[in-house]
Amino acid sequence: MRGKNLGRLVGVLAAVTLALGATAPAAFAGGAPTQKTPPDVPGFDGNNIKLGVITPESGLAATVGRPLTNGNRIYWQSKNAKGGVGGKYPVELSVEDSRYQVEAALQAYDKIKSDVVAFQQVLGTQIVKSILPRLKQEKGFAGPATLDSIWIKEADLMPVAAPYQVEAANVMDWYQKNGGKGKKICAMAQDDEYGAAGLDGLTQSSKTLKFKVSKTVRFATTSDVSAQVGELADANCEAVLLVSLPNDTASIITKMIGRNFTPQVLGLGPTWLTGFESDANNGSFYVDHFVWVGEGPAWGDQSVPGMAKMLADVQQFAPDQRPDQYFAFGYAQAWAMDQILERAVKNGDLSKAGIAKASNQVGTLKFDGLVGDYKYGKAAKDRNPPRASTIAKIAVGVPIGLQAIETNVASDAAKKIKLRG
Amino acid sequence: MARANRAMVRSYADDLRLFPTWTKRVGLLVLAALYLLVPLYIDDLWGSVLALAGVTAIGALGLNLLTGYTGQPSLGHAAFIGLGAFVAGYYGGGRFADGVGYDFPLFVYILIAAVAGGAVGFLIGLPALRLRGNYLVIVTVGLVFLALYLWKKWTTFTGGNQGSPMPIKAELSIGVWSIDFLKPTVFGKELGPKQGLLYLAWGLVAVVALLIKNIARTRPGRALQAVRDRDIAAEVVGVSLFRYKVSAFVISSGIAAVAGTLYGLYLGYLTPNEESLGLVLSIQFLAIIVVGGIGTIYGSILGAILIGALPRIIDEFADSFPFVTDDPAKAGFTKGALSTAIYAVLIIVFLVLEPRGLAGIWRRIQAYFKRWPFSY
Repeated sequence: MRGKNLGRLVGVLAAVTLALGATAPAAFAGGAPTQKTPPDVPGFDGNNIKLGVITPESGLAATVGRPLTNGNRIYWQSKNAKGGVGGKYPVELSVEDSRYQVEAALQAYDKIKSDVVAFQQVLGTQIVKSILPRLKQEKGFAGPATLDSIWIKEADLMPVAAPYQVEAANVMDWYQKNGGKGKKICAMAQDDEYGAAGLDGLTQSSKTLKFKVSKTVRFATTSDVSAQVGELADANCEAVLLVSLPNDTASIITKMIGRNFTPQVLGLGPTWLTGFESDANNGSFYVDHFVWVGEGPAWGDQSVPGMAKMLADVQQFAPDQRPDQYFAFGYAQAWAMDQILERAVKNGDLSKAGIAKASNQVGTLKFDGLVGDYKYGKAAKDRNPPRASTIAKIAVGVPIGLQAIETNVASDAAKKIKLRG
Repeated sequence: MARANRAMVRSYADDLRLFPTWTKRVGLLVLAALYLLVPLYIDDLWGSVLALAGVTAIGALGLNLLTGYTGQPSLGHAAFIGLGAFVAGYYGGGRFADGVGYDFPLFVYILIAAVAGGAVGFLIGLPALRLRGNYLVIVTVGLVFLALYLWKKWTTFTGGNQGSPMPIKAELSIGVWSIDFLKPTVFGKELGPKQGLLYLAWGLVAVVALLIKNIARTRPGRALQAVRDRDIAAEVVGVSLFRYKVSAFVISSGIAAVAGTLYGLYLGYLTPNEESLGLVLSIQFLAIIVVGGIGTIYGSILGAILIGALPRIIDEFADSFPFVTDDPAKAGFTKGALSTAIYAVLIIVFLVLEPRGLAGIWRRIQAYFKRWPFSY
């Protein structure tokens, strides 16, 4: 009887020793979790990972959606060439055209939600807002391709880059330090969530930087803006913070030129489109009176490792890709998803819940300077977006028409911005 | 002596029958069976497409009462759709967690939407007494712009520029029986929100269609049609223009607001802007009743299905066409552009070749088979 018990003890000890032996190298190699093979889940068949993209591929907003999606694509092509996520799971994108319409986007979501592990990109504030309740209900995970601050604390979303409020604060700080002190500052913003975010940044920074906003006008997208431009001209504004999309930027500048109204225009990231600088009618106005604020270094700046990596990938996989800030954002967005998927693969769980869990374990999303690093923390409530922006003037013959004046600078005003979310 | 065919109309009572022939009764049974069974088996994509078509059909039925039966053209429908959606958000608990609004059950907020829509419709109906044709259209267009401005500024009710989340549940309780249309269990099977909305929207399509059919086939309906055909003559013979024109606006707007609540439930979140609640939405409703058939009930429903499902059908099958391209810079159509082009062509074709719309085509098919195999 005693011998039998001793035999059992030896057996148990042997099993424990074997188990420790199997896990020890990983455990003593810095505490990283052992990589398990993730079981098959919707969007992952054991070999390939499928990500969804809901973006405008047609219509006016396609000028943003297409390069952004190309940025996603090129990142994943490069990653797949190295084996894919975890070195062995290539990523495939399932792209659906939203036409920038909520109904079409919701139907696209319903079409592919069961075939993807997560959504790499969902473009459009209203579209993200409509999809968000479904994501919450179905425990999905998506990357919003807008810089609204309202996404920051949403556990089902993967925001990237500094919000519009931060851009507004940084450009106002730059303006105040570069001849704008005491000048009459006004704002022109589109009448929606994006416009409200830009104006929120302006209002908050006006308190920190102690300037007054003399006049604020709003406009409906793609409408006639003569009256609004007239109001700003009549108010003798010397600087105008512009919160618009490229189509409206062009018509606003045309109206300004028509009225011989030449304020310093400070345009947020989405105001700009490559090619504006060469426009026969408006080009010189941009060069003389327009300053842009956005994300990351100038296109082609090889001194920034993140940009160098992107350019190398562009050269290898899309040599025809023209310099484009939306492309760079799409590339950064895919980079963010990659970091989360890598973690999910390490955890051996590519399910929707597994990806959401992985997003709380990545700590900080790093982009080597392509965009600012984003602290994700242990829960969505811990997230803290980057506070840096790049200020650029407009120049002909440089990539995107943007020549950086200051790269990745975070002003005190931007650091003090309170973000709702 | 042989019995007369049931379709033969010999008295006023015969004329009032809703389903006079056995084919119509069988058709009704088939539709009822489809209503019960389709949501159980349909996937999320097509469930979503058909649910939206159902929501659109309700709004189109309301507009058809006003424009088709009463002859009052209106491009103000988007304003009432928006009103209904924001009522759902405010009274249905969309922002209740944030301490804003109320958390009433589905039946209550649909009723509030109908009453609010009817009340605003009453106000719009008053100028309609003095205006007609293009002038009335301009007034209703103004309503869309006014409403958009109001939705953007009335932050308590709509959330302003940020918009408003919509209810996350749509419960209906009758006695011990209860169903949440956004998470229904039918025949022991748990369904998703799309399938639940299919039940809700198409159930309401049936109710609204029956309501309008009853209005149209009785005295008020004849009065509305008299107003449409010759309003002064109608008044001379004793039809009250005030009562019937204003009533048409009230009922149509109330129905549109009900459609709006469902539109809100479908979208999940609504931001007041030109894309979601602008003039294009009103034009779309007008296109639906033109393509479906002005002044017919099933025309509105057919039009809503066709126009509602068309973009998705094109998306699904566009890759088979050689002239469809993914790159807007290349020659050919993108899927979105093709969808818009076909939509435009359909409207032109129906206006020029078949002004009675899909309903007209259906009537011709019916007439052919009534005489079949004889051609006279």
